[in-house]
Amino acid sequence: MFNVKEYIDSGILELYVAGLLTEEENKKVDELASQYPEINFEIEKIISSVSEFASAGVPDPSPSVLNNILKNADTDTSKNNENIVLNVSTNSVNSGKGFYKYGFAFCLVLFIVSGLINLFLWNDLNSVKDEVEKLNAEKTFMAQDNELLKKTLNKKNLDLDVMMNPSTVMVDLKGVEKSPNSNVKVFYNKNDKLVYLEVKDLPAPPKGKQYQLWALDNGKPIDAGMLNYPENITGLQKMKPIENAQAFAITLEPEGGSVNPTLEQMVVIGNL
Amino acid sequence: MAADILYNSEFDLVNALKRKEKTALEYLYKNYSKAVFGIIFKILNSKELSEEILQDVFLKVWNNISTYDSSKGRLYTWLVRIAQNLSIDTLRTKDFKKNNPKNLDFINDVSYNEPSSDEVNPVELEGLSNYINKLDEKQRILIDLAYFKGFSQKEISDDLEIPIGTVKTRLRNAILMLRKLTGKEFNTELNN
Repeated sequence: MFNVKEYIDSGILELYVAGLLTEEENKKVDELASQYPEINFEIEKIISSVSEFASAGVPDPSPSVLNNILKNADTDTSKNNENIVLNVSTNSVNSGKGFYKYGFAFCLVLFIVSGLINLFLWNDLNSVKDEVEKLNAEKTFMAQDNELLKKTLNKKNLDLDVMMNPSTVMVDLKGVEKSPNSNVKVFYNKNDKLVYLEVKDLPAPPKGKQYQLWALDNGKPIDAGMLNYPENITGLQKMKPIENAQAFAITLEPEGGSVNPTLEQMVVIGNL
Repeated sequence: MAADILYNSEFDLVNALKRKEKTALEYLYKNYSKAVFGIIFKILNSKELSEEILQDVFLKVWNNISTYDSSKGRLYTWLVRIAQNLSIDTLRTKDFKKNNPKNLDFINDVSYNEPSSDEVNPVELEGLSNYINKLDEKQRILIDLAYFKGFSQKEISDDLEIPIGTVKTRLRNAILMLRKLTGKEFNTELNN
């Protein structure tokens, strides 16, 4: 049988009120106190005498303290009280950790975003590089084109000079019977003795053959040079200088030309 | 007045506090603020500072009531423990050390901290001298260590150089003497 008086006399309740028992012992005392009113009564006696001793000789706290407490006591029960405990005990530490946590997350996001931007810019850069390469190629091409045009223009200007020279005579060499469509113009400057030639229409020479220009001075044929065909098919082609001529003719000769023209192979002829 | 509501048991009071009823908080304050304030004041020896801590103690109880259960002992014991911890924390802060160098020896000093005369009301001082004079010096120190300074049984045994097994009975005797001196024993004697 549990002896209440002995239990009270043991002094365990004094330790209980002083908070000197373990959690397990506290629970046991609480159980017994709810079971035996004498134990509960004894506990309250101890508390009241210790309380009185604690406050003896000490001034009363100002009434404003209670007002402040009631004013600051948050009645929101929806708040999780354990969260409040956590906040109270780890406030300063936690805010630091939180800062680093969010800071880290923020940095990570920045890193990823920056990575994506880099990838995007890299792709962009590559396409721009391609573009530049294309433009460079185009530029080179256009420069070559331009060079060609310049050369052509120079050549045309020179040709024009030759043709516009008042001492120049144009000789129209017309096709003979077997090549009626053939036509070559010869520009002959009597003063300078210079001969130029422009092929208007002439069939391509067969392999191993070449066209040769002849000047006819008093019926005697004089070699006036070989035609470059088809390279110089447009524009004027400078031939050998000729002292005197009344007519010009072109014959098809073996490559390198002949000393005397092969008359059967004459394609065009014209008089001054 | 709302605070005059009586709670049949501590169990009811704790439940009312857990339901965040301000009348319960007011009731708790009316019942325990003097004792808790006394304990804080004995440590800090400043009325203004002790009032700040008193406020903190009750707000802490209010906010943390959901963590309270019977394993922590009585509400009074829990309140005193919180008050001691907050007071000692305050005592250890740099500002306090700078301004109140004398209080530094509190933690190690066993001797009773006499209240400064200008803070104490003469009637209370008279009442106090009644207990103190009649209470045995050793019993006074024992009560001081166990109930006001929060020493453990082991610390008490070391400090007073008594076997740990006798702390319990010595404390019982000291409390009985205190009850006799404060007149609290009267009813109990009649009952017995």
